[in-house]
Amino acid sequence: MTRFHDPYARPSDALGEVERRIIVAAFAGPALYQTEIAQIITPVLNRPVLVASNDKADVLVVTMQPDTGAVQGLIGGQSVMSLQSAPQIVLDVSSPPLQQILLPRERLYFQTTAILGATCIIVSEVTP
Amino acid sequence: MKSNHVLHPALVRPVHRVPSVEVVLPAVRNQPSSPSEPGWQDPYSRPSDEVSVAEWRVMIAAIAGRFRISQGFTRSYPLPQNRSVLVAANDRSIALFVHADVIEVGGGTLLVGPDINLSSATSATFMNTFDQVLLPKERLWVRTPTAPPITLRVTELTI
Repeated sequence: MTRFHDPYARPSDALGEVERRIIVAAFAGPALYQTEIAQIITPVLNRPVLVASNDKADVLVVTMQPDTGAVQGLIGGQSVMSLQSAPQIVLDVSSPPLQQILLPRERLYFQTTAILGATCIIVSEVTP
Repeated sequence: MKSNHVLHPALVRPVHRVPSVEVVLPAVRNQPSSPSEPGWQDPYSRPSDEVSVAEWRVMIAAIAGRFRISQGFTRSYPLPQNRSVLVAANDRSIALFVHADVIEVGGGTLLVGPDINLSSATSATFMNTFDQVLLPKERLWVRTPTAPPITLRVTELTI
């Protein structure tokens, strides 16, 4: 008898190593990103940009914030995004930076939908 | 709108049938019926030295869910005025993190609840965006009294 493997189900009697690492990253990420060297991304309207790619760590924390003002855009794991298929966020210099946790082989794309004073986006990566 | 939900076999607990046995219980006298009485046991309390895996997963989803929305599955739901819409249902995860926000600028009031009957007096109210964690078999209904109709963008993910 074949057993269907639901990729979203987890065994109920064990907390996986991935889940442990995610919770560690969620707690530690906000405190670590400021010590990492950042890269600069120029926002371009309606063009997806690959912000980060996790090809080396169990968990990668990616931090994004504008240099000044704000910028609005879509974030997702693939380059093809639309207002209906990807969450929209606002990066504001006066607000806490956006942070996302990437598992192995996951990618983070950002597609600018509105530039509200920002000239560039500062991106840093850290592995807790 | 989703229908015909089937609970994943991993979430179904098998029913163990035991042979009937005559059990004689000792007489219980002076059973405490309120917390103020000595010996009272709260049926909803949990032993403090055990945290179940499900509780761990709910906590992980609540804390780390917003850090993973870029990797979730997103779809949009038109919300007609004053009509409840089913936007999420957890039929396969221990804890499902749901992030929702309104596409239209300005958005409006969102009434959120576990069933179709939503009202401003009895349902949770959010403005433009919210996050929720659904346990197994739980559903998320949304209604907006706002006109014109708006579109809700919903992202789901399992940590």
